[in-house]
Amino acid sequence: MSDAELLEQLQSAPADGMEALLAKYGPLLRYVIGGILRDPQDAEDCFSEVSLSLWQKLDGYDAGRGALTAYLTAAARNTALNHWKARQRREAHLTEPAVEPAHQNTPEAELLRRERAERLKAALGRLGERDRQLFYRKYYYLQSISQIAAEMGLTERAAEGRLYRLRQQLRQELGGDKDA
Amino acid sequence: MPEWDAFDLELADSMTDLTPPEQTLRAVTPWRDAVRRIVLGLCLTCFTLSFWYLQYVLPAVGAVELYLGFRTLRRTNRWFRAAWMISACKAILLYCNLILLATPFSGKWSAALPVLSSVLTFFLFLFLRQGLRQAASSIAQTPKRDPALWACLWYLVLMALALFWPQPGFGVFAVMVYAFCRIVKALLAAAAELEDWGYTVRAAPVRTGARQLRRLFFASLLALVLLASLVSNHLAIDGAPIEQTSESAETADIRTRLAALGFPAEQLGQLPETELESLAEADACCFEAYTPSEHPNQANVPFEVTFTTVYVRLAERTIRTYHFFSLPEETPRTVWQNQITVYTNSDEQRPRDITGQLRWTSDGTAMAADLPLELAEELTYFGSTQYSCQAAFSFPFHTADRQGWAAFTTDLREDWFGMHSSIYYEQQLYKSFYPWTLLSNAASRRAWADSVCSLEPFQIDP
Repeated sequence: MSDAELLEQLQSAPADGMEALLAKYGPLLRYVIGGILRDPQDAEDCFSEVSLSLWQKLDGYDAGRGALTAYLTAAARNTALNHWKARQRREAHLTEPAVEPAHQNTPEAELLRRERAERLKAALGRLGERDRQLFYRKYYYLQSISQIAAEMGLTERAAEGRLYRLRQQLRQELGGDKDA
Repeated sequence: MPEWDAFDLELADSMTDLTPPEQTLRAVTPWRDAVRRIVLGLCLTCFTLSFWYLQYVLPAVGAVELYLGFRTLRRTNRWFRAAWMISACKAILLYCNLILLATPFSGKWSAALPVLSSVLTFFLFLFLRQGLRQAASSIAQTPKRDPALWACLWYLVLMALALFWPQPGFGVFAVMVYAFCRIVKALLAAAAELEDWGYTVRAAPVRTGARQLRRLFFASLLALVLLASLVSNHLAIDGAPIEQTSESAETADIRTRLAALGFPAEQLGQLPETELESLAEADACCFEAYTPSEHPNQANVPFEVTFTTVYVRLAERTIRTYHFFSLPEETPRTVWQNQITVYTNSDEQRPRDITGQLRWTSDGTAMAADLPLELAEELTYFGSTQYSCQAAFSFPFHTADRQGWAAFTTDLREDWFGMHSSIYYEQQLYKSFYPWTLLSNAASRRAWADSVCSLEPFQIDP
C-alpha cells in the first residue's frame, strides 16, 4: 500500500488506516525509538505514546512538506527524546535539585537556536553522504556508537574517530565549547 | 548519553529542527548497507566478463562484498549466519585460486573451482531467501511475493545454461543476459521489501571495518599474485661457468676440419667438446645466416634475433642441423619466459640426438647451461606427423651476450631431396604474466628463420 493510499484510508476509516500505518511503519518507529531509549519498557511506552500522538495529530501532516517517513521519523525521534529528557530529569530530581538555565526559553535564546540550526544545516550540506549519515545517526537518531558502527560496517573505534573529526570540524565552523 | 558535553547537547538540540534529507532517511537503516553489498556481490559473482582481467577482478570484488554484507546480518538468524560462513568460504576459495592461477599448479583445481563456486553462490541465494523469510516471520510479516525465490530459480537457469553451453552462441548468450537481468530485478525487489520490515534486522558488530578488510584482502592478494607471478614466470636454469680447458688433439682436429668444410667460426666456437665429437664423421657443411631485417617478426612487436642455421652432413642421408641464436643487447634484461621451437621436416622425419645450450655473460664471467629441449609431435592437416623440439627457459636477470644453440640429427627418407628446418624464438609480453601459462599458449613477440638445404649438391637452397 502506497503512502497516498494509506493517508486516504486514514481519512475514510481511521481505525483501519491506523492499523495499516502501524503495520507498515511500526518497525521504523520502533527502530528510531530503540536507538534513543535503550530500556525495552521505556521504548514500548514511548511507542504507545507515538502511536497515540499519530492517531491524534496525523491530520496535521502535509505531504507537500516532506515524505511520510520523514514525518514519522521526526515524531518518533522527538517523542523518544522527550521521554529520555523526562527520565533524566526524574533521575536528577531524586539526587539533586534541577537547575534549568534561566535563558532557555527566551526569544533571544530561540533566535540564537534557529540561527545555529541554519548554520548547522549549511555545514551538514557540505559533508559527504557517509559523514552526514554518521552525524545524523549520532545527533538526530541519537544512536549508540556500537549501533552506528555495526550498521555502517565500521569498528567502534573507527566510528568514534570519524565522529570526533566531524565534531571538531563542526566545532570550528559553528563555534562551540572550546574546552570540551 | 551520559558522556555528552554541552556542545553535543547543543548539536542534538539544534538537530530537532533539521529533519534528515530523503537520502539520509533512506540510508539510516540496519540493513540497507548490508543488503546493498549482498545484491552487488551476487550480481558480480553470477556473471563473467572475460576481458580486461574482469573475470578475476569482478568475482573478487563480489566475494568480498558478499562476505561484508552477510557479516552484518549474521546475528539476525541462522540462515544469514550460514550464508555468512559460505561467503567466507567463497572468498577464501577465490583468494587461493587467484594466487594459484599465477603458478603452474592451478590446472585441475582451477577447472573445478567455477563449479564449486557456482554451487556456493546458489546456496547463498537460497539462504538469503530463507533468511529474509525468517526475519519477516519474526515480526509476523508474511511477504506477499517471493522475489528471492525467483532469484534462486533464475540463477539455476543461468547455471544450467553455463553447464550445457560453456561456449554459448548468440541465442544462449541472450538468454543468459535475460536470466541475469531477472536475477538483478528479483534481488532489487527483495531488497525493496525490506523497506517495510527490514528495521527488525540486527546488525552485528565487527572487529575489522569494511574498508580495512577490503584493503587487506586486495592488497595482500595483489602482493601474493605479483610475487607468485614473478617467481613462476622465471623458469630458472642451472648455469655454470664455462671452463677454458685445453682441447684434445682429436677434438682440435674435428674443429679444424669443420672450419675447412665451411662451419662459421663464431658459431663453431660455441660448441663444446662433446658436441664436436658427435661431428667426427662430418663430410659436408653449409649454413645460412639471417640478419634481423631480413626476417621481420610475425607479431609486429619489435624483436630482432640473429639466427644462423648450419647443416652438417654426417652420412649420405644423415644431417645434423644447428640453429644458433643471439639476442641483441638492447633486448630487455628482465624478460621472464623465453621459448625456442625448432621444427624439422614433416612426414615421419623423427629427429634424434636433440641437444642445445644457452650461453650468457654474468659479471664478466661466461656461463652456459643445457637447453631443456623436449621433443613434441603433432598431426598435421594432411595427416602426417610434424616433429618439433621445444624449450622454455629464462636467462638470469641482467646478463649480457645472451645466445645459444639447438641441434638435432635427422635420417632423411629416400624420397627426400633436402632438409628443411625452421626456428622460432618467442619472448613473453607483460600482458601474458597472469594467469600463468607457457609461452606456447600465450601472446608473445616472436622472431623466426627457416631454410632448406638440398642434398645434391649439399648447399642451402636459394
